[in-house]
Amino acid sequence: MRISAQRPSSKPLDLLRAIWRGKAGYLFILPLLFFYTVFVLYPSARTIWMMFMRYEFLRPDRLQFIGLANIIEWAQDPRVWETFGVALKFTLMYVPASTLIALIVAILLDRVRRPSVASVFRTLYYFPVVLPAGMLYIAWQWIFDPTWGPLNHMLINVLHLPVPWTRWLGDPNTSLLSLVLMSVWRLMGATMILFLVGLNNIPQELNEAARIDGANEWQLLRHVTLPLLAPIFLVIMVLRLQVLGLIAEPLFMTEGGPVRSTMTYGLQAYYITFRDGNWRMGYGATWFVMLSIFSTLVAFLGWRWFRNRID
Amino acid sequence: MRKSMFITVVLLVIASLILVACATPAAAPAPTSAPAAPKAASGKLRLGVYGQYLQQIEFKDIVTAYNKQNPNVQVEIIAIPGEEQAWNVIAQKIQLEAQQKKASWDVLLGPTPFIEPGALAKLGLVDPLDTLIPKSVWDDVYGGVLKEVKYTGDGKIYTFPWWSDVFGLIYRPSMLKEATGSENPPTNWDEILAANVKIKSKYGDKVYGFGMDWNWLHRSMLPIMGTMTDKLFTADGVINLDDPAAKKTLELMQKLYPSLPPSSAEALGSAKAFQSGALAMEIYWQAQVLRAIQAKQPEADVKMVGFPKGTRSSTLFWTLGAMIPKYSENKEAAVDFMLKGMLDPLAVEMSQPGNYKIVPFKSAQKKLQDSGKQTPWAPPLLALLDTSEPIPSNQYFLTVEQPIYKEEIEKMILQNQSVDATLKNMKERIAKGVAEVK
Repeated sequence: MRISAQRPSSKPLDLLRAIWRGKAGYLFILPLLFFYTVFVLYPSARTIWMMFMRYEFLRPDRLQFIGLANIIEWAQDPRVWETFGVALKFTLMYVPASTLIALIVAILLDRVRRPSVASVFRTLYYFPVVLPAGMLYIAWQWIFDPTWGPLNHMLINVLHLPVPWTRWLGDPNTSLLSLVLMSVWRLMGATMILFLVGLNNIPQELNEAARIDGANEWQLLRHVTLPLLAPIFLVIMVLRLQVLGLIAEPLFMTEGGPVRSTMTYGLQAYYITFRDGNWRMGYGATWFVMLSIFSTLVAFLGWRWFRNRID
Repeated sequence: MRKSMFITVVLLVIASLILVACATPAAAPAPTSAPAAPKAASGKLRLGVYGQYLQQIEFKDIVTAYNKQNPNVQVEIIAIPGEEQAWNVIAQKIQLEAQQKKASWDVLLGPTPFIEPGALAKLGLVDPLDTLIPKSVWDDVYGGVLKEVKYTGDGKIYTFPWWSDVFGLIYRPSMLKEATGSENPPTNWDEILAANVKIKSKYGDKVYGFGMDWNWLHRSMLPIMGTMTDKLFTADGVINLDDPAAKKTLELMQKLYPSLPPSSAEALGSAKAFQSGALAMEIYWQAQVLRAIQAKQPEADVKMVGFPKGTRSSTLFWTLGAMIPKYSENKEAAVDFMLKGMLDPLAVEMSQPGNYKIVPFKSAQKKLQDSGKQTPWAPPLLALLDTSEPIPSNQYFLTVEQPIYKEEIEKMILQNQSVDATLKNMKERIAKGVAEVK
């Protein structure tokens, strides 16, 4: 099927002709475009529209166009940097930890020669990803409970590690780390699968050639495997940017506390929009749009950087 | 091709923007006056019930009992997958449906006056019940609860009360006896502080002395403060931080903190500790007794008495009830169900002892008492239900005050912020937040 092979002319009529020529293709993607418009473009456009409005859900009488006022307020709001810092801390702990562990597990699994055994381990590691999040949050609240939860008991009484009795979610110094631990455990399987796909795509000839050249396992990993996994690292990096807008984990596990130690940017925006005051949806939309712009920018820069490295 | 695709996407974005521009904002319609008093209730009644209550109560039995009184109403029970913590979602659903002049439920059972009705009454999305319910029924409601169901904005009633949760002192007699020599519970804050020292000395870190939940201010600061002042709220329904009792309460909370279980900074931390047998005393509402028993604590060793005293006797409570959305399609049947179904003797008996709840109607309690079905923990709680101050039903208790209290109390307890600084921060932040909401 040939949609449009020639360079479209700038004339509108030629463009319409080009679209007509590719009508079969457009027809095929029409259902997707419809759902994309309804569930992505329209909500996005409405969010952008709300950004320029004074839109308070509990004060509909105040609805009015206020231009850039929300953006100016956002730029001056000290909570932006405070909560962005929390989200960034979470990202800096979570992304390297989950990526490294997933990479190690994927490389080990890739070496398992019996497919049935590998399949069992893959399933086991991926299992937390498909479990209902609400159930996991309750389970981890129990694990972290300092009075009767098993984590402290395991660390101190069973493993006899020299660590203090910790309040985990109830201590501002450890609450964010606790969320990171849970998230790494929960989502490591998803990252692992991506790495396994990448490892599967590495031609065996390259490994064999390197071995013939005298490379040991470490050199193989360092100079063959990791460089060829670079596209996967890029995908993971882009996907993991979503943790900057993290909401669910702190909302259900700590409600942003104690003392705002887990108040991520996303959760603060959620509270502005759906909990605090008059539910300032216009201002909340500003928070989310600004984060989207930032994430897109970082993803773009990351993509450029990786692309250069890959090239 | 790239260019044509780009143009297509641009066209779609423009189409979306046009749709947005054409769409009306989610503004609430203006409130209307209450409909006339119900006559003969019949037809279909869509009864929306919060899922958590469907798990606790056999609503089908209540409906069956109601239909014996009025067989002309066909009740459809609709589970609402939410609870208090999802109240904003429910409020949005009601609001968005109201724009199309419709409602999914003819009556909604589960809201608490200080949570949903405050916001919905302000938006004019629920009907006032003052005139729909006979005066004799309102006269039968305990005084504190009657005050609780009135929306502070216009003084009208938007919630029909059903089951109340009342704060008291829950304790483990065996632990108290081991530690203090007496299984009688402390009756005031000084005695609680003294008992805490003895419990610590006896049990170390295996059993904690005292539990309270400061994640939600209405579960710790407010009930304690109520025992030190009769001016708990200002005329506006905001917590009265200018009263000296506010400072005394924060100081007392600081003193109580070392006896709290380490999980007390987490949601329901103290409650879970009590259920696991790691807590000797806790201020909480009566359902905790049931939960502890369900968690395999010995029934004979879980007791509840009235709330500890300060300079006065008081408690705190809240009441789940029913409200009628503005676009309910069968308001007559909704009111009929409230009066006959919710107050059917079967529904009243389900409250005690089965579900450890309190039906806040004097005649219902009298019947329970006369039939010997009233539980031992009920009388001391009921004694305070007439006189204690309720949490005001307004639009800023939950959305402004509570998050600020939580943060400031956490700073005070976990980061040694002084009581004075805590009080000052609370006052400043709440004044600003309330002004914004108003």
